[in-house]
Amino acid sequence: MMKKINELVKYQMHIYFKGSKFVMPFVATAIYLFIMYSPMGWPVGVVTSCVITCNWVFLLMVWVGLSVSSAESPIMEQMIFLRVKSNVCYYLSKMLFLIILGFIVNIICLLYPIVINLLSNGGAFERPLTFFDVINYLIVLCGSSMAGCSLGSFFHSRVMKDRKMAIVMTVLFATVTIARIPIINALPLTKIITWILPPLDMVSRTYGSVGFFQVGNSFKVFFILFVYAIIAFIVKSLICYKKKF
Amino acid sequence: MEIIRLQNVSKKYDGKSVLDKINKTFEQGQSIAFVGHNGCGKSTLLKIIAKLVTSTSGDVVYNKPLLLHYIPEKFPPVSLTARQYLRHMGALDGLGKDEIKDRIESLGQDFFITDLLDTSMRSLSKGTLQKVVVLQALLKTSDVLLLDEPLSGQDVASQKVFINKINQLREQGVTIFMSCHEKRLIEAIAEDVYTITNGSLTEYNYKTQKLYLMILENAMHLPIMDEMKKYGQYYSLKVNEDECDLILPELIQKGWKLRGLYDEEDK
Repeated sequence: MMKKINELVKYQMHIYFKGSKFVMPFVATAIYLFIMYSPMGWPVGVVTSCVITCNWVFLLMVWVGLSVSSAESPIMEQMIFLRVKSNVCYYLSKMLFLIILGFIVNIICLLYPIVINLLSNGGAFERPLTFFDVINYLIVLCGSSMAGCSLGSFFHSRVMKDRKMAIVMTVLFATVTIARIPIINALPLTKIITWILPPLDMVSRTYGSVGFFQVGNSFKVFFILFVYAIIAFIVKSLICYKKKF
Repeated sequence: MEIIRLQNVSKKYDGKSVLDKINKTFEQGQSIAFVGHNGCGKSTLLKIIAKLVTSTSGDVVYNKPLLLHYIPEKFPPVSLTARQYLRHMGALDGLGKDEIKDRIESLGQDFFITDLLDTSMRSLSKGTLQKVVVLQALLKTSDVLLLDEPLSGQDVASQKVFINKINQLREQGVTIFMSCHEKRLIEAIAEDVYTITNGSLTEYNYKTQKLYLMILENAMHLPIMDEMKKYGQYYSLKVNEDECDLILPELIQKGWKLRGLYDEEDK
């Protein structure tokens, strides 16, 4: 089973990076990082920049997840599905593929500020960047990217055939997720509905007004986002399994 | 040996019944073709057999876990070369690297696409792309092969190779299900031909159903039969093979002149 999952992930990776789908998200990330860590804005807060980057990574992975799931052809899926002969194997590989893409994005978003900080002799951040900061940064980013790709890939063509509606719903959900705190503050009753969205506000609530990371808090944020992403992936896979083609 | 059994399989789309309580048993090594007009449910039945589409009611029962390979009519190309794509498919089939390499080379030669194996699939013509789809299904011998208009866009030489390969697979015990309009392919591969009429699966016999098209000239301004249709300056009449020998002398005796007689399939 692991061999098949491995082959499926390799196949999806090969198709993704041979195509042009990765170019625009990559360019957008480069622009974001360039602006975020440009000398004009120095020094930036370590934790603050992490919170902002988490939101960026979330949105980027929504985009990546949406583009990946929209590009999937039912015929291609059918041919693969017959070969693999295992629903668990097939859907697990799709989830792993997106998680790996998210991890690549996280590494880029983490390495860039570290390199900039080194090149500027520690001038990019308002305080010295420690290994502890880097680990916490990565943990929180991983949670955000997983939540993003789970939302982006949720409205798969087999979950929602109307692609325009799928894009509108995904953009709406992503926007409300980012702006959840001000929305709930203005309209407390929206809490009844917004619980269904990725709990990305956990990042801002935990680290929005502090200057240092706490490993316990970082793992808590990661765990909540991770559980949300896994549940979203399972729900999507079950809908696809039930609906078939 | 029984391989697949359909038990009361029904399928409805938007309340319209496409398949209605189909009960059928298929044997290992059997070669079955489904024919009929577009939208009659042939492809749906193929996908129900493969469990890719769920039936509205009823069951599809396999006698053991089966490996099914599928050759679709239309195939969206991916951003890989044909060889890269086939390597991945071979790996998913559980074949070793050397075995995959050998199979790709040998099948590539058989289907005359060795030179195109390293071309991006997006740059391949429809016919060549269809050959790549055929190749992926032949990399590993499956238990069941599902063919949905498999010769779409292929050249005559490759069609012959394809027919030979499929018949070899039949000899090895592979069960073939085919949805097809091409009489020549059906005659070359299928032993049992079925059509779907009003949701039911019925046997279809080409020979008894054969139609001829008569082209007739009405030089004596005779009354036109209801079944006749204007055909340029002449009239056409479609008749069954059996009726043809009876009707034709009668018409000539009445004063009609025969200007052509065609097999409706070849027309």
